[in-house]
Amino acid sequence: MKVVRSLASSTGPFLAGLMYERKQYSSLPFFIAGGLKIVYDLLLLRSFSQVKPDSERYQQVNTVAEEDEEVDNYNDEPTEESQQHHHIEMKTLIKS
Amino acid sequence: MGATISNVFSLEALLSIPYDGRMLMLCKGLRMFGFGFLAVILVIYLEQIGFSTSETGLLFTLTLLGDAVISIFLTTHADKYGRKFCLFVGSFLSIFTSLVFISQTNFWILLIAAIVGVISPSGSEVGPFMAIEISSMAQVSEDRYRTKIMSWYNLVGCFSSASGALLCGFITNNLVQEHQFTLLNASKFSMCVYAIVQVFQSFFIYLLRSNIEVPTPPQEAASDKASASLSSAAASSSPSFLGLHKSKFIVLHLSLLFMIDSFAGSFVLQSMISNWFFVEYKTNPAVLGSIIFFCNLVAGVSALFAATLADHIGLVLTMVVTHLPSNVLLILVPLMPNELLSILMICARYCISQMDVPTRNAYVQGVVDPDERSAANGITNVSKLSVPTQLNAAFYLALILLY
Repeated sequence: MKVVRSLASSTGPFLAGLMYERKQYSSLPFFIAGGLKIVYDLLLLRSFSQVKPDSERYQQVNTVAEEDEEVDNYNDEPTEESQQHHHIEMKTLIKS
Repeated sequence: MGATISNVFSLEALLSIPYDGRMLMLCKGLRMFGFGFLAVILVIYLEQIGFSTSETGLLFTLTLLGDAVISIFLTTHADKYGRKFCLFVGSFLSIFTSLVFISQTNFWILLIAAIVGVISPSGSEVGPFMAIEISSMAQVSEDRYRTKIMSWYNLVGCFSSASGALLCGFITNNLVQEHQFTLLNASKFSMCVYAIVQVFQSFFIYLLRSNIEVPTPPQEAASDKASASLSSAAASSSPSFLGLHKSKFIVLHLSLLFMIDSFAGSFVLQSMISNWFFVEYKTNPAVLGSIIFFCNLVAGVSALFAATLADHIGLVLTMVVTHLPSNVLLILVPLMPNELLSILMICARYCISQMDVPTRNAYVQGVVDPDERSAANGITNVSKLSVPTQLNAAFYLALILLY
């Protein structure tokens, strides 16, 4: 059962299984999971903090209309620049 | 901070949900009840009809893969061919699969049914339903309440699946001990209950109106716009890909990030954590399982606060400031000097772990066009599904009731 599960599932649980089985590495999965999830948070913040969903855009239109043009947004017919910017981010993401 | 109770718990948002939204909530509730119910009994049932653990493992893995393919297909076509129609197809497939599971005992027939049908092996959400329901919910509800309604939607799912698991454990146990059922018959009975719940779900899908569909398909305008905006950056790819047009990159980018998150999550599946506590501190897995079970319910409620927070600081920041501390707590678990503190850390972690779920859903709805929502949800969901799904804590609790 263990073999089938490990083979069929992704590398995550398989690696994790190896670590949990050895006493000296058994806390490693906690660090890897926590660390990777924090990396996810930071990447999310970096790439998407300027990409406002429509609900937040309405608020901005109402309150700070003059700044609205500054907002870099995917949905407002992205300019070539912002598309390329996103391209570059994608590439760095894939590399890392 | 003069927030009233109604404000904090987003009751206003709950009351604002229109007819179709309430039907969607009922669908979600019934389905998750069924999935929770099934999670407890499915392994036992398969064992009773003579499957080895390796056969069950294979069946479950292929089920997940099959479900992923079906989900991708249905969700990427839902906004074009009709959300209600695609929900119906999904519902039909899950009824079909449960009937095959009840009536057949041949491994290969079940395997094929599991692949071409929809069934949840672990009690977690599978199939095209959630993706399409969320996009429909965003369609029928007011934009300003969207995040709060997503939190309620999530909460309904949490509590339904928990009560399904509890009830299943109770019923099966009762049938075996009080009514002299064999475990085979008792588990077969529970499988039938699951199938009936599926039928009820399809009834509520039938009650949905056309309000949930994409409003007046702006076919030409959208494709014009998409080709204009994407011509420079994505000249190589076709204007429409997997049901997405101008949000292709953002959905792909988000999916990649979510994949990192769920890959990380696969290192600390609940079963592994239980095992770690057992090896480290000799903690009883059943006791830990029930503690985590209650923490997961608290988590559903805590997600309501995330929605209130999102109104003030925005969705992305909310996702980050709630998700980050939960992972610091996770890292602290093995660093604690004793069992009690480690358990406290893991509890605190589970209690806030759901806070980024509704915010994430609301965010995806907000950054793509209304006619891309189902596809965007489907794709981002499947990117999570590629990693084995977390075992439901309810499973452990129900096992205690069963034995």
